[in-house]
Amino acid sequence: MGEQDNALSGARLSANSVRALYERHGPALVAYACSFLPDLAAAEDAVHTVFLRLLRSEIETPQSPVSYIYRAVRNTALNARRSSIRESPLAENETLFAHESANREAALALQKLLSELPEEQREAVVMRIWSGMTLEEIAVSTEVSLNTVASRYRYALEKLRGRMSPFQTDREKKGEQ
Amino acid sequence: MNENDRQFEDFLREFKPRRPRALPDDLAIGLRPRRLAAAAVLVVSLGSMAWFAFNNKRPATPQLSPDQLTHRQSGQPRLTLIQWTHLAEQDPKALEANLNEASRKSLPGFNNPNSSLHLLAKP
Repeated sequence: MGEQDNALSGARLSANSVRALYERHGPALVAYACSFLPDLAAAEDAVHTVFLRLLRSEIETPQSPVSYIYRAVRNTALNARRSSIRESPLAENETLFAHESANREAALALQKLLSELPEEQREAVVMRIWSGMTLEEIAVSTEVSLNTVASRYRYALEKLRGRMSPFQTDREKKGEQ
Repeated sequence: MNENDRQFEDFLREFKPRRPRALPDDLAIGLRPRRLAAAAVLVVSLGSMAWFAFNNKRPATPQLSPDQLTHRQSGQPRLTLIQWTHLAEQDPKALEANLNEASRKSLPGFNNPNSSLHLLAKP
């Protein structure tokens, strides 16, 4: 998350600050919202709802805006899921991630594995990997101890590695060639 | 966190979550429905006031002819406030006569011997 995001904290964020947060964390937040919602469009809508409320200054953000935004996206996504008629899971061919080497198979596998993780573990992984938050920041955000966050993250990483290692090995082989 | 963990983290970071669509611009956000509704109410209110202002002009004062004045002086129909005003402007004498006539009909009489006002009045 870093100093830049901390500098964005405050009672009311300026429009530029909100847009900067959206640029930095929007993709990760959509990935996070996808954990709760059946499709990408619904996940995007949930993230948009939160950021539009921030832009309209309808809500005040606490000291740590990124943590707050994660909470807000989660609540918005859960509300949307409750009120949604659709219960179909994310379409199997709908890719949430894009891989640098265009490894679509690996991207779909990651997406599936993430959706199978317990919510707390998935949250820790998304915040750490794609929002760049430290474990300490995640602990503050999720209101649990640092040890708990570290355990969740470690378990999640182990599960992911067990299934994603073939793709990682392939990449390393290609890199050597 | 060992080296393997860090390598695996780097591998995961190679997967980029899809970028969501851009946020709407400031102008579109500014024109949110609540503001539009308030603006619509304001426009309708101002329009209604303007319409009433132009359509409820003071009616033109009817000009009383000498015959009508004479007729008025006979004291038959009651004059409206506008007609009283106009009469005062046009013919003060006729106004005086009309007032006298009206006062005879509408005010209590002092001259009637059975009137209580007559008894109370000083000789």
